[in-house]
Amino acid sequence: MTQATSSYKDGPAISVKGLEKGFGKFQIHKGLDLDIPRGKVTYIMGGSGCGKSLLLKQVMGFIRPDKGTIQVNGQIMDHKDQKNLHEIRKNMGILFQHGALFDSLNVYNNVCFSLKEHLNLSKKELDENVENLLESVGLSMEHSLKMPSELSGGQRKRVALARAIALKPSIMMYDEPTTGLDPITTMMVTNLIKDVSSRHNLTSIVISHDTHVVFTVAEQIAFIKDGVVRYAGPPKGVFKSHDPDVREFYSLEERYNTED
Amino acid sequence: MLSFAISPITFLGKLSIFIWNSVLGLKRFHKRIPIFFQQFDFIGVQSITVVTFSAIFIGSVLAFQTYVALHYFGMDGYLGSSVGIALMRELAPVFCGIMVAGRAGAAIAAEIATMRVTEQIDAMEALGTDPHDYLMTPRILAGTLSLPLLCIYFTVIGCAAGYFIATVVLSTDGAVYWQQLGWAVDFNDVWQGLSKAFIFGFFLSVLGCFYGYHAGSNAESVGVATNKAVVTTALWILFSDYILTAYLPYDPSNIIL
Ligand SMILES: Nc1ncnc2c1ncn2[C@@H]1O[C@H](COP(=O)(O)OP(=O)(O)OP(=O)(O)O)[C@@H](O)[C@H]1O
Ligand SMILES: [Mg+2]
Repeated sequence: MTQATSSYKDGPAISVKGLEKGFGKFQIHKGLDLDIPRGKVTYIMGGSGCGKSLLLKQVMGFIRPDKGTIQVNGQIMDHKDQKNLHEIRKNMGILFQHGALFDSLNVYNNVCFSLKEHLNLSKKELDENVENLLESVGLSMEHSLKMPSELSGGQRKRVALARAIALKPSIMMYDEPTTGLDPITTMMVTNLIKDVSSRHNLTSIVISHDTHVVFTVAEQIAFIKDGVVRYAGPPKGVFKSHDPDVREFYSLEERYNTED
Repeated sequence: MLSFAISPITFLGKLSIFIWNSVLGLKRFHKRIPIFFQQFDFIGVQSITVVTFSAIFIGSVLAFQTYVALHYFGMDGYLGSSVGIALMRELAPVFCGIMVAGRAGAAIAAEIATMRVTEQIDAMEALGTDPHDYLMTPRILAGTLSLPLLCIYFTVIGCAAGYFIATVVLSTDGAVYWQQLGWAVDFNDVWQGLSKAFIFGFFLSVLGCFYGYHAGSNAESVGVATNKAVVTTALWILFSDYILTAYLPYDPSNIIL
């Protein structure tokens, strides 16, 4: 296991170097490099199938890269060492596209799942925790006895977010949190991500296809195409990029911005 | 997915790793006792209805058919022993295994495959909980332990149904039926039936969990996983039943082979 260096707090929260991953004859990531700055909201964009979800799954350690290293908080991920994976995952939370709430558990038990698993809290402490978590995603305790099937899509994502931040991770990842939601809920979820990030001082990584949303809230953008990162930096920089693919991808947004 | 059919070695390798991880899950079993009881209720207790009906029909048919053969040789008196032995050694474990695989094994595969498809399994790992110890270990243990009990129950109901047919329909002597049954069915038969049930229970729960866990990620995957779990379990039960019957010496003094 690689020890975290003392200065890791100054460096990027996540650093991906030379990542390669393929399935059969399809090479998805071809030497992808990406640094995720600490304490900021980074949006990852790119065409469908370019490997955005796959990138998150490798960062979470669910899928093993063919080549390259992934460093989280200064610690290099080592798939041969379950303890190391476990350590690294403890600092990360993920929100799946559809929430992935446990169907067989009610909202209360979903939210306190990891608390019950890893800490020995009394019933009263659990109650307090659940109430705070639900409150921080804009829900009240009245929902706590509902089953996931009784919630709306937006509520489900809120509960899933509350569950993901229960153990206070320092890094939160969101896989298309707003895809398939109406514009109002989209804005609500987007603001929620921003709020939660600043309130808990999180490093956030968000996959999104919604260029408009991205340009309003992102502090950092990474654009993936053909298995590599083609642009990484602040949103404004996109317009100065000389890469034609980057320009093309964001041309809609550029037009949108120049019209008003 | 196709590779499962093409390469039995990969399949067995994956299955062994899966079973090993589930065995390691026993370390955290003390935290999973409520889930274990819930699964025991689902796999064992809730199978009682279907097992009762199967046992009644199997026991009755068995009494009828055996009577035909025995009567031909004028050995009506052996009806009880034939029914008892056939049920205890063979029919109870096999039918329980197949009925419970169809009911609970399929449901386990469907439930876990759904969790896979909807990323609940990934979410569980992300929250730092190993799905093996949370989902698999309690189910496998519940399946393995409930089948021997269901098997005993099946035998008792089946013998009673046979008794009903023997006395009420075929008008043979009821006292002789029980006497012969009690005399013929010994510890070896019970042991053989129970060990088979134990193994079949293990198969149906492990395969249900395994196919669910390794389900693909699209909507059809749930159906595919369920289907594979049930078919594979049924084949494994029939195949291993032969092996266990033919090669396991339950009674050293009585080995035919
Ligand atoms: N477990 C897997 N097995 C085989 N191929 C996979 C696997 N996971 C991903 N892929 C392939 O990798 C590619 C990238 O998938 P990924 O899910 O990362 O796309 P994405 O960028 O998230 O796209 P979208 O925006 O549509 O969600 C796809 O072509 C997919 O078929
Ligand atoms: Mg995706």
